[in-house]
Amino acid sequence: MKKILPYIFILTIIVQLFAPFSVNIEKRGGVLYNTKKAEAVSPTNETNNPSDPKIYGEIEVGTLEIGPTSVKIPINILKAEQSTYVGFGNVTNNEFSVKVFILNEEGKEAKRIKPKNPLEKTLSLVETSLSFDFSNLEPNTKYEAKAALYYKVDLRLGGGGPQGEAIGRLQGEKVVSFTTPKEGEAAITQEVEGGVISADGENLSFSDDTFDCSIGNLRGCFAEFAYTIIFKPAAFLFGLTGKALDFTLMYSLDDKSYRSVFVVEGWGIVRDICNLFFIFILLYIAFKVVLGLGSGKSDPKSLIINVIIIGLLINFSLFATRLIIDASNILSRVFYNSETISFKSSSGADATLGSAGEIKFSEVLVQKVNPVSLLTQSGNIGYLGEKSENMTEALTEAERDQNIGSTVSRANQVSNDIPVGLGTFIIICFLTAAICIIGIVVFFNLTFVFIARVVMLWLAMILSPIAFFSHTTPELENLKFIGFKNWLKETASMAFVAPIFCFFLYIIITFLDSGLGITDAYRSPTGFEFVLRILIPFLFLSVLLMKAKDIAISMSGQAGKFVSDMGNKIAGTTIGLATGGAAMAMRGTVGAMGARMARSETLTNMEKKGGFRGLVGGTLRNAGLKVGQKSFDFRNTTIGEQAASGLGISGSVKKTMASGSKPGVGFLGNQEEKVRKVEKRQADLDKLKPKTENEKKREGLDRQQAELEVKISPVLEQAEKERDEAKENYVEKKERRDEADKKLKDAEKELEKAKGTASEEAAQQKVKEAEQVKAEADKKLAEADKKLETAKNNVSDIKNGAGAEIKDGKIEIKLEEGSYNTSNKNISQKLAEEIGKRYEKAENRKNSTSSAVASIDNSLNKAMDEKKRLSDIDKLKKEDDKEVEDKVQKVKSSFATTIGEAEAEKKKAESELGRLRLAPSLDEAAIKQAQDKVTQHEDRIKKLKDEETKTVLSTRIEAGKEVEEKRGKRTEKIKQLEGEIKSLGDAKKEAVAKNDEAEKEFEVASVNFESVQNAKKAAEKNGGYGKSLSEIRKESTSLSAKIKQDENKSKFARAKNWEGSTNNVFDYLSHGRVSNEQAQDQANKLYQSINKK
Amino acid sequence: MKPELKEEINKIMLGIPERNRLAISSIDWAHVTKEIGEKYYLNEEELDLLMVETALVLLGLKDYDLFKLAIEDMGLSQKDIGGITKEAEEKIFNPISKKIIASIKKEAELNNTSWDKRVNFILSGGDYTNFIK
Repeated sequence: MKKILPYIFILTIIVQLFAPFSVNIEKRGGVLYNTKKAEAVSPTNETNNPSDPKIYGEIEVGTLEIGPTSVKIPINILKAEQSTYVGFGNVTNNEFSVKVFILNEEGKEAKRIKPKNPLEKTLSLVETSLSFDFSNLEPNTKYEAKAALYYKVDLRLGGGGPQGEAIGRLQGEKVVSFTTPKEGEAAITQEVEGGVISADGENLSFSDDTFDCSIGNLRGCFAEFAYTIIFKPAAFLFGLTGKALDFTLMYSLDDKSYRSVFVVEGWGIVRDICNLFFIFILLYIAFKVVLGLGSGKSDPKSLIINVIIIGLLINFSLFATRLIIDASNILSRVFYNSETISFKSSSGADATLGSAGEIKFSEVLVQKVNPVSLLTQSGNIGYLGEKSENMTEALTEAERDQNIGSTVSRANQVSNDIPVGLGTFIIICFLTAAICIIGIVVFFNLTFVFIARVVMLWLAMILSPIAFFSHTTPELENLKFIGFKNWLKETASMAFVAPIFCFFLYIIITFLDSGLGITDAYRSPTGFEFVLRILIPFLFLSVLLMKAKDIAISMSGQAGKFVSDMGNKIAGTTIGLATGGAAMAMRGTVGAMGARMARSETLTNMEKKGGFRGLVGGTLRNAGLKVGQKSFDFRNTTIGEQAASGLGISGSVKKTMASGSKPGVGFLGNQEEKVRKVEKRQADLDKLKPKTENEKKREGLDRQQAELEVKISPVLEQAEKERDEAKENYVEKKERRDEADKKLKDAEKELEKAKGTASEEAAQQKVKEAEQVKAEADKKLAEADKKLETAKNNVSDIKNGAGAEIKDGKIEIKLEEGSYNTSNKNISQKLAEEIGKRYEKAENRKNSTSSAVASIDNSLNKAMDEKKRLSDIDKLKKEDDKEVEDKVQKVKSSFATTIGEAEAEKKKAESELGRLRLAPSLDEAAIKQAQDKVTQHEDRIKKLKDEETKTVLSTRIEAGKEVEEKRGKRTEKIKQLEGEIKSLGDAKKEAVAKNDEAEKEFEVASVNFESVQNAKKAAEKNGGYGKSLSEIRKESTSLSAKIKQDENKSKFARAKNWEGSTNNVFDYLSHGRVSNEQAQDQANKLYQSINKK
Repeated sequence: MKPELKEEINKIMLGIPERNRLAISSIDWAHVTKEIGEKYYLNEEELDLLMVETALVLLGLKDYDLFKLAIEDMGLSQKDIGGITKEAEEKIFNPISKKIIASIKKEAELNNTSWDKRVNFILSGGDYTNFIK
């Protein structure tokens, strides 16, 4: 039975959802009437439809017989009848009953008081009297007995068969008080005065069961759900925000709001403090005067004047602020008054002012478009609807909840008896809720603007003395908010938010009064036209209000922006709560049910069995899974997101709105979320635990793996692509081979049959042909197989690091066949080596180019120096002249010696001559001889001097010639040097360029080298150096297994895990059975048995 | 299955606990492995390897995660690897592990377990291996 129940439930839901209406449906004249239960409508002052069937009843309570513990209550039936057929409806098969309750003194139904007779009795119309006996009463106790007449009638429409029943209680009940006698006393009787109660002409109205949620009417539950969970919270919040806006606007514009005691007291304290500070300001000015500082605005004289003026004005700062506020409020009142904004109740009375004296501005706005009328007049929407009086009744409740749009009178609602279908009703609920949400955002925003206005103006008043005080010194004047300039700006902009907004409000109301031409086109709107007629003006209204708010806020500065953001946040959160609550409820009920369906073992078994049952089981499980995963959250839908954006709720604010919402989670998601939270907490706790060596090592390996995967990904992807293509080719070839095989077998069978017949030869031919085709297919398959194997090996080899080569510092993996037999598994190492080589090469090259530059530079310098030296003509001329002179001097000095000797000999001869002349005896000959000698010497000296002159001259000429020659050579040398310098310059440029290039190369190589060295160090540390991807992964996985084993050493952990996964079972059970070495040995034996290492 | 492989497996089987042996023998895992391999177009060599890897896990000689890696090393596509491991889990490992667990639980019920084992069982939070002899 337990197993069948869910199916019955599901089937009921399906029937309820997919049947046009319920089973009691009857279609007549194009109109569907769903008549199930009807309830007697409590009599009201509204006009009832005279054509509705009526019920008349009258009962009389007779004389009570009261004992200490019992009472007998007689009831006489005076009248119990129904109206006859009156056009629209009729009632037959009346069943009337009387119920009598006994209540104790406290007005509660007396406990354990059960009548001996049945509590209620069904009367036939012929019965005229009944008696109710109660026992087990307390002696000497006061009781109340209540009697009322109930009816149950069949309803018929237009003379057809019964379409439902009406159950209800006629208005009026008789209450009789009595007291039981004391114990042991005799029974007493009590006459009942005015014991007759009558209720004539009560209407029976037809209604659908939209809100009647019961086991037999799940449709009613859906409607109830949509109305209560989706519409009602939104409407309630809409009304609440509207009220809040009305109040805050009124409060913000009310003069009394700014005359609070705390404001005046706060202002007084601030003023007194400021007065104290005047002393310091005066001291400050005194110092300025003494030190002769300040000029212009800071001139001490100007400051003193300021201080005196402000010292006086500071006492009027509150007054000045109030002046600004009052001016703005008076201006606002021009637009915000009960004349411009008037509101009439349903009775036509003026209801503009609320209980707190606030103008019902929000109601005025909503009255113009009344989005709730989408629900209250929902009959206008779909002509496939049903009569829905209960619905309108419920909507009256909604209107009361939100207190908006209450102008729709009940009379209108009742007369609006065009019915609405369930689907339409639910859509309307959503639509109306969406409109309400827009309204909530708009109203919330505005509410906060005005709350902020009041608060900011309070602060402005309290802080006004500081603002005035700051005017004394230019340094204080520009302080944020309390500086006079900023204070004035902020106060004025905040104060004038109100008149600006009220002006726009006035414009909006005027606009709404004039109506929208577009929607007026729908004269008797039904269906979409009706929806549009309400929706479009409301959207206009929302946009206008938001724009008015934006303009007011943009004029109100930073403070306004802040509160606007805050309003958005709160509105977002409120909507989040409203929609999220509904979503949560859905997840908890429908979602949970879906999840159970998805997990259902019975459905799983059904699915496994296949066939039709399998299909049903599978479909139901899938549906359950989808329902279980659904978030039921409007906020997560595209429309929800766009709506949020459209309302200006974005960024962090949108997050606030979405808080609590998890995209696409659903019930299963919620469960998973709980598990995730627990796991996250555990993970956080684990983080606090010191990491084991294995864990550290594994982390390192994981990093290495990630790096390596990035490195080899281009080549691996290519190889994988080739592998997939090869596989496709293989599959295709295999299919062809199988086909050829089949054909061959068929041909062989045919040949068997044809043996000994005329067609044997033809059959043999066919077999041969088939054999050929198969052989061809086999060949192709073998080729494809080989290709696939190669491609698979390529992928495997790349993962194993084989075939890697480093070219130009990049990893290249050759894909040629056979290139994978190399054992180059060390991509990291190879790369490091290559980079190392490149580094060395770059370094050598850099050194070489650097020395080349230095050498050229040296030669160039030399050449330039030489050229410079040779180009210095004056210096060289001097040198040349000196050289000539030196030579002349040399000649001169050689002649001077000879001449000197000659002169010395001449002197000697002259001395001899003198001695001879002075000798006492003149020896003329000797004298003459001596004279001749002297003359000879003189001649010789003369000759020598002549020769000297000649030699000097010739020497000069010779030397001059030599100098000239030298100069010529020098000029040539200079030219040569210039050529050399030019070529050296070019060579230097080239060498420098080469050197620069080499240096850059070296720099790059250094960086690479460094990074590779670091990577190498890291890899060495992490244990992944020189290992292939597969090796790293294997090592990491083995480590994970070890870590897991270590973790599982704890009994709790083991108990938690060991049944959890397949792996754990085998792993755990084998753990400790054999040593790792033994396990490895056994594994190797198995590998060897298939000839694989 | 190659006769040498079968022989080696049988030898190792003798060393594992009886409950494991019975559970493993209850399913023709070699046949199932072959079917899985053929479904994913594995060649003969790969089929042999798949069989060895499956045996290694069943015999508790290799970690299940390493089994997955070994399949990956064959150079198959992720889709094939996923398919093979999933089917191996569903058709071989999970049924056998369930049988092993069931047998441990049964042993625990049948054996007159000593009080300390019961206490350990409770303290461990439900670890049935406390009842293993």
